[in-house]
Parts: sequence; C-alpha cells; structure tokens
Amino acid sequence: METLAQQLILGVTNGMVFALIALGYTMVYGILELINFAHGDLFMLGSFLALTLIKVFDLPTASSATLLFALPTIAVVCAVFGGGLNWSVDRLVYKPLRNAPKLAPLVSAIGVSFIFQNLGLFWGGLPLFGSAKDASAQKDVPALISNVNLLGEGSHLRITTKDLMVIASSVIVMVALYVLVRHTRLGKAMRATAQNPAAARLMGIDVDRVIGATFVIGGGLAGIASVIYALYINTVHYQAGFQNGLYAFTAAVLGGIGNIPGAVLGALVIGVVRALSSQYIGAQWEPAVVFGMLILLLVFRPAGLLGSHVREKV
Amino acid sequence: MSEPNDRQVARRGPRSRTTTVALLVLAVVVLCVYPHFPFVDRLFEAIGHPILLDRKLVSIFIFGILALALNVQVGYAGLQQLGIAAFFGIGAYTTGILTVEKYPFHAGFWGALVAAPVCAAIAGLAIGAPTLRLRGDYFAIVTLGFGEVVRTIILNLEGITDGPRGLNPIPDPWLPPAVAESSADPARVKYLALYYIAFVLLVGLAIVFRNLERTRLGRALVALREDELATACMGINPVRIKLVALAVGAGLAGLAGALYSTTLTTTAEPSTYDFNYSIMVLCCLIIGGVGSLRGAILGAVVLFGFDNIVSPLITELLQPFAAASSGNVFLQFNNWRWIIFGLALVLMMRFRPEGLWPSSRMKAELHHEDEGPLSKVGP
Amino acid sequence: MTPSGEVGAASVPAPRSSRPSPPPPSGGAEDRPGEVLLEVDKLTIRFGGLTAVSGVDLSVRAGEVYAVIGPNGAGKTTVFNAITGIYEPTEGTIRFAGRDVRRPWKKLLVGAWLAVGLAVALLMLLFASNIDGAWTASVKHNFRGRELGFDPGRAWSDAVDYVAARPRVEQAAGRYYPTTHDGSRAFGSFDDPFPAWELLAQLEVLAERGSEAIVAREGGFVVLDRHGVAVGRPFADRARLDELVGPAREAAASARAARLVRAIVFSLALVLGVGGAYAAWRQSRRTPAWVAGHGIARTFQNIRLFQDMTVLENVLVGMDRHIGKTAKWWAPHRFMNALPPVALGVLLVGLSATTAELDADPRVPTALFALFALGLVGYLVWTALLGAFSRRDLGVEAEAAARARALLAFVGLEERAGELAKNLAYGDQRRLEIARALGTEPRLLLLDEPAAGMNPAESLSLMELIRAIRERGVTVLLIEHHMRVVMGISDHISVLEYGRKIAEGTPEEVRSNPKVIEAYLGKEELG
Repeated sequence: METLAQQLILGVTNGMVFALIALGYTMVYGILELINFAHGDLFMLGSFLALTLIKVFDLPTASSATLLFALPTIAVVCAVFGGGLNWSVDRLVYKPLRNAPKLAPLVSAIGVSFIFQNLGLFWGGLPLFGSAKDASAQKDVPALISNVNLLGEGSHLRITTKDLMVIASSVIVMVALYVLVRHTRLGKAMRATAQNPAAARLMGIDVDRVIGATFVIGGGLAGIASVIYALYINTVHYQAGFQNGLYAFTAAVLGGIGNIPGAVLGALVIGVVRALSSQYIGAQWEPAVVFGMLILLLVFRPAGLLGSHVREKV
Repeated sequence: MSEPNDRQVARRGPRSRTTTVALLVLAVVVLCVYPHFPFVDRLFEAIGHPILLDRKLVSIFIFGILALALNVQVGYAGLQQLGIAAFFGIGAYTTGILTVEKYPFHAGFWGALVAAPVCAAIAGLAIGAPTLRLRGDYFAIVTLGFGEVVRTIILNLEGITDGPRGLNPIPDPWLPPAVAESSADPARVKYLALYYIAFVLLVGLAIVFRNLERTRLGRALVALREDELATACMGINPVRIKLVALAVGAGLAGLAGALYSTTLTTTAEPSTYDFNYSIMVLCCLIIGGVGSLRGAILGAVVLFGFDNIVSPLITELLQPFAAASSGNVFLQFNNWRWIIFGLALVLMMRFRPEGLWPSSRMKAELHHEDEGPLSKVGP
Repeated sequence: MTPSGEVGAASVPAPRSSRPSPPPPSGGAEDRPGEVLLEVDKLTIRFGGLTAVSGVDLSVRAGEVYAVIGPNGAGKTTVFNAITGIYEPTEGTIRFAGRDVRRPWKKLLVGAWLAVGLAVALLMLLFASNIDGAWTASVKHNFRGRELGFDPGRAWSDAVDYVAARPRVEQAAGRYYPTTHDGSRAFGSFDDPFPAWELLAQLEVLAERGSEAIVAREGGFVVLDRHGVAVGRPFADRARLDELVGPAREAAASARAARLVRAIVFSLALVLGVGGAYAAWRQSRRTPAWVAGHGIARTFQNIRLFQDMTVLENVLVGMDRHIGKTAKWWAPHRFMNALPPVALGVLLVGLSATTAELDADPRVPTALFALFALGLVGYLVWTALLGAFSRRDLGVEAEAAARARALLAFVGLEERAGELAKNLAYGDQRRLEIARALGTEPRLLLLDEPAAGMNPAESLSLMELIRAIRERGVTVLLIEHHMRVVMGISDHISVLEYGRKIAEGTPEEVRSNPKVIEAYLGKEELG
C-alpha cells in the first residue's frame, strides 16, 4: 500500500512536469494543428540554460536566501528564453508555411528538433561543463533543493521539499495560464482563433499576433518546466528532449489534443501509469505500457479523454 | 487512362520524356555491370581516398527499397507514418530468428525473404486496424509510439533477440551451385548475389509502383489524398485502402530488413531501428519528393551517399585538425550531421516542398495554396 | 460484403458527341416506380446541446424528383449527411429500399471479435508470463544443435507448461533439473529425467499436505498422496524430506499467484480485445462508403471534386467500385503484368552469373560486348514494360473509360475529359459532380443545391439534366433554393424550418401553404 502511495506521489510529480510541456504542445496544436516536434528539444535547451546559469552564478555555494531569489529568477530567464526561441522559430520556419499542406510544417518541426538537439550537443561541449570530448554525456545538476523527507526520516512514505517545489510551482503556473486563457482579452482571442481562425480574423483579431503569443506562452511553459525538471531530476542530457517531449505529446493526445485541461489530466495519467508500471512491471517496459495504453484508449475514445469529436464540415 | 499521359506529354514535351527514360535505362545498365567495372571506386582509390562505393551500393539499394516502402504510406496514402524503422527492425529480427544457427528454424535467406515481409505486414495491420480511423496527427503519434515500443520490446526480450548484441551470425543466402561456384571467393559471390537481388527488387518494385499509380488503386489513393470524405461517398472504403497501403509499406520495409540483416550478417543492435532512422527515411522522401518514385530513390541515394560516403570523406579530410584540438566537439564533422539534416528539412520545406525530383501530380498537390487549417486566414 | 445485386451489368454505350442521349438504365432497373425507396422516420440529430434536425419524416418514392427546401440553417444538409452516413442519427431510422443501410449483424462477426480478442489475450498472456522465459523453456531447451533435431510437439507442450506456470524438468549440460515455474532450479539435479519428474510430483504433494504426507516405509520415508498412494521413490532420510516442505509450499504459492495474475491479464485482454473489435465494428457500421455502395450517391453543397485529377479521372473514381467488381485481383492479366519484371529479374540474375566470370580475367572486348548486350536487352525489356504496363490496352480500364466518357457526354462535358477538374467553370464543376455521382450507379441521387451559383440559362439546362437523370430510372432527392428549379421539376416537396418539417406536398400545395409563406416571407401583420 505504501509502495502504491509512494508511486502515486512520484507519478503525480512527474506528471506535473509533463503537463507543463504538454500544454505547449496542445496550445500550438489547438491553433495551428501542428505537432510542434521541436517543443521537447526546446525544453531540453531550456534545461541546459538553467544548468549554465546555475554554474555561472555558482549557486551550489549560495545561501538559501539567495536561492529563494535566484531560482525564480532563473525560471523567469528560462521562460523568456523558451518563449523567445519558440516565437522566433515560428516566425522563421512555420509562418511561411501557414497555407502549405500539413506535412510541410510537421517536417519542418522535425528539422528544427534535429537542429535543437545538435545545439544541445554543442552546448554540452562548452568548456563550462568540463571536457569537450564527452559533450554527449549526461550533465549533473547540483542538488540545490533539499531531498529531506518532510514526513520525518522514519516514515515509509517520502514527500520531499523537491516534490512540493515541483507540484507547487507547476500548479501556480497552471493557474496563471488558466486565468490568462479564461479571463483576458488575449485568452479570449486565442480560444476564438483555435475554434475558427477565419471567423476570428473577420472579427478583427490579429491572428498572427495570437499565434505568436501562443508560441511565446508555450515556449515559456517549456522554459519553466525545464528549470523544474533540472532541479528535480538533477541531470541534463541533449537527448532528454525527445523522450520527455514524446511522453508530453502523448499526454496531450491522451487528454484530447487542443484541450488545455485535457493536457494536464493526460500528463497526470501518464505520470502515474509510468510510475506504476516501472514499479510493478519493470522500468524497461515503461514506453510499451504507456503507448499500449494510448492505443487502447484511442480505440474506445477516439478523441481522447476530454476531447470532443470534431465533425467535419460538409 | 490515356488522358493524363497525353497531358503530360503535352506539358513536358516528348523529348524530355525520352531523355528521362534514356537516363533511367542508362542508370540501370551501368548499375547492372558496376560490380564488374567499379570505375568510380578505381578513381577514388587512385587519389588515395577509397570510398568502397561498390559495397555501399547494396546498402543504398536496400535503403531505396525502404524509401519506396515509406513512399507507399506517406506519399501514396498520405499517412503520417513516423515509425517505419519499426517494420524494418521487425523484418531484420524475423530474419535473424528464422535463420541463425542457434534456433531450430533454419529457414535460410529465401525463407526469411518471404516470412519477414509477412510478419512486418501483419504488424502493420495490427497497428493500423485500430488506429486508422483516427485523425492523421493521432496516427503520427501512434506510429511514433509504436516505433518506440518495438525498439523497447526487441531490446528487452533478451532471451529471444540477444538484446543489445543482436542476433548473429545470419547465414549467407543459398545460391544455385552454378552461381555459387562462379568465383573462388565466397565473400565475392555473396556480395554479387546480394547486389543483384537488392537491385532487381528495387527496380522491380519501382516498376510495380509506377504501374500501380495508373491502376484503380492508384487512382483511389490520389482521390483519398485530395478529399477523403468525397472518396468515401463514391463507395470507396478509405480505411481499407489505407490498410492496404500500410500493410504493403510495412511488408516492404520488412523485406528491406531481411536484406539488410543478411548483408550485415547480423540484426544489428536494436537502437539502429529508432526514431532517428525513421526520420532518415522520411528525409529521403522529402528530399527526393514525397509521392514520387524516382524522387524516393534519388533521396535514398543522396542521403545515404551523404551519410556514408561524403561525410566519412570530409571527416577524413578534417582528421588533422580534429586530432590537433584533442577531439573538440565542433571539429568532428559527424557532430554536425543532425544540424545539416535539420537545416535540409527546414529549407526544403520552405523553398522546394515538392522535393528535388517530384512527380507532376505531387507538385500540383503541394502547390495548392488553398489547403491547411488557416487557408482562409491569409490576406 | 457484396451488396445484393441491385446493380445490374451495365451495358456500355458508345460515346456520344451530342446530348441529351437516352442513356441506359443505370442501376434502377429493379425500382418499381411509386414504391417507397427512401424512408426517413422521425430523424433527430443533435450536436451537443444543439438540435439541428428534429423529428423529420421523408418518404421518397422511386422514380420521382423530391425536393427539400427551407431557409438557410433549416437542417437540410444535415439530413443529407445523415442519409449518406456522414452523421449518425441521434434518434430515428433511415430505411432504403425497405432496409436499414448499415453493416448487417452476422453470427460470424462474433467469431471475428473473439478471434481478435483471443489474439490480443494470447499476446498479453505471453507478455504477462515473460516471453523470454517461455522461449527459453520451449525453443532453447529443446534445441541443441542441428544434428540432435528439434521436436516441435515437445517445444509446444513445454511452452504451454511454462505459460500455465507448471513446474518442469530442464536439461542443461547433460543433467536434469526439476525447475519451478519461474525457472529456479533449487531442487538439485539428476542424471536422468525420470527421478527429476518424480521429485516434482513429490514436491506437489508436500506443498499440499505438508509434513504429514511423509510416512516411514520399507526402511525409508515415502511421500503419500491424499489417497495413500506412495509418490516417487523413498528417501533415506526424513530431515531431507522435511526440508523440502517449505520450498515446495513457497513454489506452489508463487505458481498459484502467477497463474492468478496470468488469468486476470488474459481475461482482461480478452474482454478489451473483443470490446475493441466490437467498438471498431460499431463505429464503422454506417460509413459513407457503405451507404454509397448500396446505391445512394450525392453531390456536395461546397463542390468537393478531386481538383488535381482530370475530369475523366473524377468520373472513374466514382466508377471504381464497379470496375473493381469486374476486375478481380486474381484476373489473369494481372499475372501477365507481373511476368515482365519477373523475366527481367531472371534475366539479370542470369546475366550477372555469366558476367561474373569476367571478374577473373577482365578482357575489355568481352566486357564491352556484355555492356552492349545488356544495354540492348535492357532497352528492349524497358520498352516492352512500357507497352505491357500502360493499361491503355487492358479491357477493363478501356471499357470503364468508355463508360465514363458516356457519362460525361450525358452531362455535356465530353469535350473537357482531359482537363483538370479545378480548371472547369463553376457550373461545369457541378455537372461533373453529378456525373461522378452517377458513376457509382446509384438508385437514389442526392443533389445538394445543384443550381447554386448558376445563371438562368445554366439552371434551365440543369433542370433538363435532372429530368434526364430521372428518365434513367434514378430517383432524385434535392436541396435547392432556386424556386424556379424546385417548382419546375419536383414531384414532391418537403419544407424544413429550424430542423422541423413544416409542410409537404406537391409544388402547388406547398406554394399555397400559409406556413411556408410565413417561413419564407415572415408573418403577416394583422391590422
């Protein structure tokens, strides 16, 4: 029972990180119907930036008061970096392809993903991270947040400050996103554009601006997720973007792609399923279980958990 | 079906058509005799940089078959298939299990050449039947996931697949005595045999697909890409046609897998069949031209040639500099590989989405400006 | 799968250059005029909370032209979509020629679902019981080199034992090990398989009965089963037997647990597999393709032609289902088609075998001759392929093309057969859509605003065309806004407003119906 509870905690914590990435996928998909393959790698670049900042400012030696100020700052910097990078990619690569058949932006996104991965490899080769020879090696992130069990060391159940940090910061970001999408003009414009871009444009909404904003927000979420991830998992690797991005995108599909609460729900489900399957079936079977579940779900609910069936206009 | 042909002729002119055909025939003839007159290899050997083109041609043919397989799915049926390597791997491992000495089946190369496509096609049907009714993007993620699942399974079923070591040795194909004894060197015989088997399969498949494009099925596929609902309202079952395309593509990928593993004499490690490999094959189509036969083969030649001939050559030329800087990550050409592929994809999509050598039909479809979700948004 | 032969063998008229041609009865030969062909009964369609169509009845008789009219947003196209299988009705039934047009339920289907379920369940069972282990137990343990042979029967029974979590005897390096279900060999080894099996039997009894099964007998200790029969050979030493009780119980308990898990996985996978197959079947019971295959063809309000295909090809796509019926994949000409590449293959292999000899002693003249010969043969083969494979001369396609041209002539587009559909004028595109729909040899043709965007002259010729279609024996159901067209050709009219039917009758009746006037012109203010 305790194992189960422990795995649930682990699953929810992991799921929260996935959710932040999945939101970026689902928002872009909702508006452009584009699987932004580069999103996972954007996240990876964000985590490299976070690690670089931590090293440059030598945070492991800093006091906890400094950390309390420095870590949110890093999160903001990474969010700005992620948002800015995502926005520029949209302008440079996807925007000229708005009217092209669907395969074109998809392939471009894969291309951008490769470029990002390669940049991540080069980033890892910087002298800052030691020898340039093992650029492709996994980079360790110093443990800045205590890993002490909050329930006391005697307890069988472990909830650490780290877990709380992940859950609290993700929830704060999600609530902020919810408020943004539900209660601001920009949010309204985004929802309108997602439903019907043509009508939105006729209503005077600057669709290009809305799309740009979506990329900025999605990239920002990935940036914040990357900081949380780096602090939580404590490693950074140039291929981490593919794995995590894949799970996050699966989460978005599972929840019903284009649906914002769906992405969070799907991510939590995937986090929990991953944790449970690695506990009870074996860690090496994780991908098989996750994708098996996805296929099964799509057979019974073709539009995902919360997605609604879109009817083709005839 | 005389109309489209007449039209093409009228547009491109009979001369250009004859030239194309003559060029293709010339290419086929040169490739037929190349193993016996490897003039390109002689040339590079003479300048001191042997490239082993004659050996690598076998791999290029196999890669070409793989590209044709993906072309059936992506080009003809318009499926967003991102996991072709899975079927390639299934073919390779089926061959491995059926032929290696330590398992009792000993089906041999020719048996595997039949069984591998069948197994891969069954896997394709199994993944397609529940998911082809879904939206295109869902299919993309499902195939991507399927690729990962297959790789995981192959890696983890260590008792069957020997895990990361891969199954080996895979025996050489049985050949009629007359052929087998034609040269004293068995390696040479095997190389020649695989060369011609792969070459004949590639050319044969290209011919079959060229004809498929003009049949009922080919027409239905074009219609399906253009307007699925309207096609369905003509009494053509889109799911069935897509399933056929998926099974054929998967089966051919399995065939390529059988050839590949026999050429290598091992199934290679499971990580060969990962997402990056799937994307490499997709790159072939993109570079050559999605939906275009000649484009797919050209793409395979360009990409494989770059990856296995040009890139090692450049690495070799850069060797002095790389050595001086004690393995600096930037100075190893291989590390630039994905940036080059990525840029190639992005630039191709931006400036020449129809590929280097597109089919006229695909060119027309790709330059349709009124498609995509934001079609009506444009100014 | 084949729809009952409502489509007769269509004869091929010679392409005509002038229209109107009195075309052959296409598919409606068996529809007796006046019989109810399409019956829509209390059709209701809701999208979420929005009711698009509510309780609409339509009854279309064979041989008539039936019009559905009404203001925009009245749900007319939605009704069409429901009839053609694009939307699933929320309530109500649609019957065509007295039958519900959906995939029929057959007993065989249950078998198919079960087969899918079983396949899924077996696969999952294998995964649940560790495929690797099963493979090792059945294949690897039964194969020790080519000369010793391989017994598939034993491999199979070992695999079954493994999956059923039964203990077994494994052989390794000449010794025999009693092995528990999870592959542990904690019970020693023997030179001979027989005592190993005996020990397993004893372990089973010990696990069940514990130490009380051990009885002193014949100068040793034996294990007695529930019926008092001695199992296996006696042990010299009781302590040794007692030691076995604990491990035997553990092994039995873990085997039971494994069996339980596997049974649960198997049943769950079976249920999910059968359920999934059923769900997939249910979702595809009434697809547009199925409906079209049964003789209902349609056009679209927003023209949906295959823009990048030629006019002729568009019609051919419509006819493809029927071409398919005449041209089976096993038809001989297909094998003839396969011959050239096969021949090419044989030729190449043969040539490679002969040229391989050149390797040893590359003499330039021979090589050049081989090159020349290859080039010549290659060229000949290539041209032969071009000839054999361009399907111009294949009967089926040629016949189909002739019929397609006849249809084009019927709608007046025969001159433009080779043009791309997107290059046609708007009115011609509408005509082409009709020709394409007629290509499916329908009994009922649904026209969704065929006159939209047409000028008066075009509308007139459209009316003529619709009459000609009816003359062919095809019943026509149309949505139209042009009142002149509707009143001019319809035998029967239904009026929809806000998803409900507010009136129906002959054109004259509808024209004078106050409700209809109100719907179109608004309510008259009473002073």
